[in-house]
Amino acid sequence: MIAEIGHFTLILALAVALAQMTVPMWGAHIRDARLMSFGDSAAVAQFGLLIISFLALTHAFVTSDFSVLNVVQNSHSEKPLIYRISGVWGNHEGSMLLWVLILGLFGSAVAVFGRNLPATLRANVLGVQASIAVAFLLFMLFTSNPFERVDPAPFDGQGLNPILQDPALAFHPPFLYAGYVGFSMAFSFAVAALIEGRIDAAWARWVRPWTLAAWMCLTLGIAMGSWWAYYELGWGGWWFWDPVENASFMPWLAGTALLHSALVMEKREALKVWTILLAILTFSLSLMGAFLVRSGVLTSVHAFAVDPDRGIVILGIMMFFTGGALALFAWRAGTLRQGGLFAPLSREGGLVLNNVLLSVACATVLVGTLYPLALEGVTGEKISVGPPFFNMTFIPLMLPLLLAMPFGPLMAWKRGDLRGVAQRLAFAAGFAVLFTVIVAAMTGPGPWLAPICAALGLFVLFGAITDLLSRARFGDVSRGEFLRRVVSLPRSAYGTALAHAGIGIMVLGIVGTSAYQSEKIVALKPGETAEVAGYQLLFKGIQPTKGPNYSEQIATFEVTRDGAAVTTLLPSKRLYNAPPQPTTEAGIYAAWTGDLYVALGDEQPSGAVSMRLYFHPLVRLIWLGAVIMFVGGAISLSDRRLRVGAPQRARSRPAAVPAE
Amino acid sequence: MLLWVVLSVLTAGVVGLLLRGYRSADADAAGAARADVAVYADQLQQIDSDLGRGLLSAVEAESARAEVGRRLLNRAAAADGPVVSGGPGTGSEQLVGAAAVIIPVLALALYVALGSPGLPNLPHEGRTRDEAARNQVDAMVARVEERLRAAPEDGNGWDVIAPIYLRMERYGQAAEAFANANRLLGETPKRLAGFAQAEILANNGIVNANAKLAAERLLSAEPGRVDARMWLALANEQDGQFDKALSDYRGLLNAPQMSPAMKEAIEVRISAVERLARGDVVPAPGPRLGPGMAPPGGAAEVPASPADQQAMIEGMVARLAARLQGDGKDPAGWVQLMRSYMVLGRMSDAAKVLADARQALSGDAGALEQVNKAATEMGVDGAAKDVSKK
Repeated sequence: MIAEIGHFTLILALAVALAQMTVPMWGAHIRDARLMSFGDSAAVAQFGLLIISFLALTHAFVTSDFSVLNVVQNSHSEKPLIYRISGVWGNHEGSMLLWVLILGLFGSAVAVFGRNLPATLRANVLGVQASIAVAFLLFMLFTSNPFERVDPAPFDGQGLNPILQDPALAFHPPFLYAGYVGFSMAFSFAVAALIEGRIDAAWARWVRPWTLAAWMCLTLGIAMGSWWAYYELGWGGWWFWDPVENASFMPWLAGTALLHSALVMEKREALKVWTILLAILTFSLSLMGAFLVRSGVLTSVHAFAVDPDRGIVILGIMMFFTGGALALFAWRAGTLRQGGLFAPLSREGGLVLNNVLLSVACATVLVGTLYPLALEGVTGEKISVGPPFFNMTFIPLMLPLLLAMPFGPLMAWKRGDLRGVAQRLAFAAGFAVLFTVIVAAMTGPGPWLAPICAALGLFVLFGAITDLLSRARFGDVSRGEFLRRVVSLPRSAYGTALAHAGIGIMVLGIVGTSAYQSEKIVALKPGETAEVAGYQLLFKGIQPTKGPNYSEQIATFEVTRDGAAVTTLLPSKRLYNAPPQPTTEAGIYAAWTGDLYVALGDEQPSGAVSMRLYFHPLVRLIWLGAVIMFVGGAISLSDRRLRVGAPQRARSRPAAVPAE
Repeated sequence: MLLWVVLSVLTAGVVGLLLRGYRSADADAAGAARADVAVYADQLQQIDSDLGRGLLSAVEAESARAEVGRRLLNRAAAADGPVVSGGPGTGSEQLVGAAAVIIPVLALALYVALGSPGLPNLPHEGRTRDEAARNQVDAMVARVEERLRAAPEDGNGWDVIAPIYLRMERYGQAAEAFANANRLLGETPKRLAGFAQAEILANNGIVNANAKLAAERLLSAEPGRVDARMWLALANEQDGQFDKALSDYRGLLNAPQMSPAMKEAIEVRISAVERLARGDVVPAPGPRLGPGMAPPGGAAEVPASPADQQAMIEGMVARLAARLQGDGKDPAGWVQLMRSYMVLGRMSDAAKVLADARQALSGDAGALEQVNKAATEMGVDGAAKDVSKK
């Protein structure tokens, strides 16, 4: 019965979304406040219904109700509870339900927290948002219904792909989807503004928090996926330029550009056309990611719906929304008035440079992802555009971006003083070079590009600190005054600095692990020792054990360094019961300087076990950087100014700002 | 029924929420129109605070202020029409009213088309493999039966379902299905044997005229078939033709394909018939007897019948009882034995076990306590008495 309630609420959500799509937009058209406010309650009701639906499916998974087809196909009674829950979104139908749930979450957030928006804008945004929900709900109900039942019910399910049974992967999709779907808000705002024909600085202020929230979640989601690939796939790599990874990376690049161009639009009313276009394209790229992984075009862990028909429906949805929005855009673009002017060397100029580089980088990734697919579709020839392509095209675009990054926040609006900024950054640059020279001298030779990139990473990190210091006027004022200023800096300033610092830290991790990693492939018998990066690993042997739904071969390594015991590593290979599939669990020891990483291979006829030993210097900084970016975004999001505009607030607290 | 109540309540709740939101909305028009003005006012304040911090020079601040000021003026120039609160007669009530009707109707129609309101929850816990297998067979049978109701002359349908009925111990239906299949598709030895077996089992072991006829046809189609000869012998025995029966049975004993078990069964019949011939009273053979009585598909495909399961359980219980007789210092074993007897419905045996256990465990207070507690929980006779005595 509970599954049926979930099914019904999903259908009811569709009916409510249809009303939410039409009534408030008509209300905005005839400027009827009550019709417009209908959108608010509809958005909340829709979200509530989707929650019930989602909980109902979760209930079916948790109780292993195999009368629900989706549970049969993707779960198993032996699975531990957490993976029975994460199994809800570990498949096509359930992940679509999560998708529409998050869509509903953002819609209801606009209804609840969007009181500072003009009523017509809010009504139109909710209407557009509901139209996206309608498309996906129809898609779900008619091609991918998670509540389809089987009667008679089979006794047990087919299980979840074991390599998805992992904590990082349990939470990777919700964040990723929050990112993808969050960009639908930017899209809805853009389309709503185009419908109203009113696109101004205030619009940019209103769209920013939603874009920022989506961007944060996407950042964390991508980082979790990368972290999972690092320790679960057993190759020690953290990014593969796999089309599925690219599918999530492209919206990130476009969304990052959008965050920055919206800033220009808010401050100067410039880049209007471009910002609107980015808002549309960012969401289109999110939809394209969904299309790529669900159409069967790609084969990967993520390709859980290898069904061309569904793919075509998603393609249709994507074309409808992108095409419709772009047509509206073309129709309205002529009416947009020119915004503020600025010199090339200015904050705006820096942000434009950022946008150009990020967009070109995004286009590069798009070409590298789609070209092989298109070629295969046209000629049937299979080519692989691997890391070499991306390293040759993407990295040269990122180097100038990193170099320019510390300059941006320090430049003045309209007309910047490059010389003055360069002077302020001299310390940061000097420190970066000094550090790099010292470290390069200690580590010995590596690729020639590595020290340059490392220096850039440090420059970005120190540049972010410089930005904060100069905002607090370090050196110009007394120490007490300086401290007071540090404390009272707006949160968005901290957010910017943290996010930029996170990039710098991530770059350091990337350089460290790409240029200086040590790798060894050996075959050891019990009692033998191998050495990597100064660590001695004594292979003690392999023990079989049993997990809740798998059997496991655990190898034991005593790790020592210069005779002193360091740790014991326990890499393993698992064989899951249902479906019977092997996975590798790497043994990882996190030292300050990097990760010692052991992955087991196969047993050789001689009795030796082949294994791969790695030392990845600084690799954790990659994910640490992503987390810092997330935190920076969160701090920025809590900034008072992103909430401003609520008239009541402005009336009741007219003096809320002088402290700053 | 409960499902429909829940769905109705949900729908009513949602429609109520939507209507309430619509009714209580006041024309927040003035505030909404000022939303962007608030943003620009904030930007002006920001310029002041940046100036105060020294992040902007006075000239820069002035031009920035002028810019924001222009935006404010633009805003005022492009003043929108007033936002109204749609009252009666504007058409908004009708629009919302239509939505309030369409939402439930559409949802209900779609749900009836897509949902499966008849299916209950089926959590894995509490389900057993047998039940699942039986469910599958039941559903298959139901599908075939439905088809046969629509097309009763479908011989293949009868042919498929007949052996399944036989395995499900629905002998009457099995016999009818075999008869239909024979009639529609023509007789084969397999179907004839199936019919005879089903007919005999349906009649509690009596070989009636139909079964006898089938056995005779079977024998003429495949001379020397032991199952057919066995049934004919039984028929003779039941008809009182003991001499014929005896010679049939003896002939069977020498047949080449007889297994020791079958021979043993036949010898039992022989001695019984000999006694019957002398006028003694002997128990009638049960329905399940002799060779050829095993279902045609062989035992491996068949889910263990309840009788077989019962036999297996009783064997296990007997072994446990024997072990406890030898070594009685096992309270858990005693409790298990007691539980087994209770499940089997052998209350007096359970009470006896309790007595035995108390004797075997006397002196071990903890173990006694455990046994007594379990006995009280299960409601074994004599358990309460003992507890009250304490």
